[in-house]
Amino acid sequence: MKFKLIGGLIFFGIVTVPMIGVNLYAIGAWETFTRPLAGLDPNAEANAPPEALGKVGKGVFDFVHDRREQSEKAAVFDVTTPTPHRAIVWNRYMEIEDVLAEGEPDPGKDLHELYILARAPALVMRECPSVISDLATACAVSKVEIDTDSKGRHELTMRIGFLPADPAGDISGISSATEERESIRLTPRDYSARVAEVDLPALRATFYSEAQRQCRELRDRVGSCVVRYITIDEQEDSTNPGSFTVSAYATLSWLKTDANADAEVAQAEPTGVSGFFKSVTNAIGGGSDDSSAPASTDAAAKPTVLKGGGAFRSAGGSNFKQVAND
Amino acid sequence: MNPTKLFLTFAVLLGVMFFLSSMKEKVAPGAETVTTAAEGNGLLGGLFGTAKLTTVGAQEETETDPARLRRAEFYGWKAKHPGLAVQDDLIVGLSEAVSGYPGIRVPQLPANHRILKSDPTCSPAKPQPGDRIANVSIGQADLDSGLQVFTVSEMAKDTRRWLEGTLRKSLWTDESDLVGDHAVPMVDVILTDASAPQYVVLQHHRGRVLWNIVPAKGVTISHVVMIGNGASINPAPGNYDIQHLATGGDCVPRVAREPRPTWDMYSRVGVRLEEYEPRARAEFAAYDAWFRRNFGQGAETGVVGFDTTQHVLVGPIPSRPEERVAYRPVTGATVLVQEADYVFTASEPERSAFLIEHQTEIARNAAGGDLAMLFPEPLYREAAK
Repeated sequence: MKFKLIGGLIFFGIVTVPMIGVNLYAIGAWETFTRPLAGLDPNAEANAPPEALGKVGKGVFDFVHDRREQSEKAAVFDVTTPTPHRAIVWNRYMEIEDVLAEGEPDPGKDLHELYILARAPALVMRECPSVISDLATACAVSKVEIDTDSKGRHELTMRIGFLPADPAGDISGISSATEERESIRLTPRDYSARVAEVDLPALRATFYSEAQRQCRELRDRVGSCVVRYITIDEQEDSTNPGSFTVSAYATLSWLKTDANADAEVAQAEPTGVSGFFKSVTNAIGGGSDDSSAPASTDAAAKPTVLKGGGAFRSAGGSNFKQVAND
Repeated sequence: MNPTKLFLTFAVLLGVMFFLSSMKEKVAPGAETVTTAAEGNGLLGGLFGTAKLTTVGAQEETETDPARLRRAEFYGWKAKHPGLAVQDDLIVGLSEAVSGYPGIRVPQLPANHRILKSDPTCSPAKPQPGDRIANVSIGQADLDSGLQVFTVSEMAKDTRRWLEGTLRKSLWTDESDLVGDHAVPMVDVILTDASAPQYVVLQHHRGRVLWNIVPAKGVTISHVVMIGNGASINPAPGNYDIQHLATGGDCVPRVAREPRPTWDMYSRVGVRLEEYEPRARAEFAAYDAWFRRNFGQGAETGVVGFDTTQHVLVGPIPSRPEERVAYRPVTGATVLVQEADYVFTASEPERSAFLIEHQTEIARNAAGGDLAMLFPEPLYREAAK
């Protein structure tokens, strides 16, 4: 019986494996079968051929994707090494006049995008001293991109890479832990802060320190935390030049090693927010008037509006929200 | 059931699958409503898909199976080299009408160019009595020639892409990546109708195109008019005028084709036809009206060409191999090009060398005079203090 089984297995191998191969070949699926393999990094472990044909059904891409997630997680929590996955994402609409030097001629419409983009790294470097004052120990241009909409407005996206000044916390279980992300709103829920252009740098500085402070608190509770992203959108008010509408949020990453940790976060209520408000009020000495902020109809969810419209606490519920994607 | 029997059953099932899947390949061409000459690939071709497996080999150059030479796309047929568009919306292999085709491995590089301005009168010359309209209309071309044509805006986009890529440290870039590829795709226009002077109307809907005129012996051309933006031409020798008319603005309506049942628009699952078809019909009606006013016949009368086209034939298919038209390449020719900021008929290394220097200079000015400003060093806290 045992002999028969082994014989059958050998027969199965001899007959079916080439059959499957020939079938894939004949129906043209060969290309889709071989191309993902050919695209892999020859040095990566993932390039090892799948042991069983059954694995092919799962898709080689899934396999690679898992690995990429793994390395991204390791990079984010390694605070001594730069990574594109940890950044301040700063969006601004820019015009050619914003970047040209005094008396510099307009290069022509076709070159506007290029000029704005090429001068963005210098803009980032002017922001860096503020980034390294508390939040980070190093700051660099990670990426700059420009997109022009149908109205001809140029949206500049600057990604500022940084090395966090705070340690990531306990990352000993990183290989098995899952990365959890919490989104912290740095400007009010239903509307955005309005500030004068001169106050923008100070406002951004409060975003950095608030993100760092919230991350410290989270780290105290759950053991680890890294500021993964701080996203800042600045838009000039078209009816009121020189006045900017700003919205910002931070994405904090922490490592979840056991299933109960999630509940812990949900119960936690951030503290020390009032101190932050105070610092913002001091930092932005009345950038714009309070009346510009629309009134919230929901009394329970009414945010605390500060003079100058700096940063806001969304009252009620947790400040921590899971982000589906960023 | 014992394991051996089970495995045997599996093996038989797989064998049947293999047989059926190979049958499918063989049956598909027959299901095609449009059939033309020689389906001469035989059983092996059907079984293993000859055209799919060879790259740019001699075998592909002689592919003549119409089912392999085109497929239906949303706005019409997408032909594939060496497909030759012929009358009545049919396709044959290029080798049935042309001899001496050099292949597509090396793009055909013209030796020189001259600028052809768009005609400001916006109206084509009146066809003379006795002229026959050679009506060629395509959506776009996709077989690259060696001619490179682009605008400042396109050059700036290349520079921008390089800058973005270089700053994104994860992406390896090199200064040669500054140089974009703006090859103008070409379409061979084979003319075989020697019975009347040919008034050639070359129409394209989008992108740039280089029309390569290949007349058979005895064919006379009385006039050529190119309709569509970004058209260039390698004209055949002869005594006639060449006009270019810009489209989409005040001059001429955008080139359009009449929707046909073969368009994938009509068979694709889930398409809300009412969103696309009326617009396509309206665009055609506008273009057709203009065409009738100027040429005295409908825009679809005797028209040749597909949505994506590499080669077209106007006139009869040569009946004997020795009557095939000798190919006339763009290589070494002087082409007429519509005005553009950059036109290159130089070889790739020459063009790259020029553009790297030119675009680096533009990038330097864009950065404010210092290229180092594009890639600033990181700032460290210790260093700052």
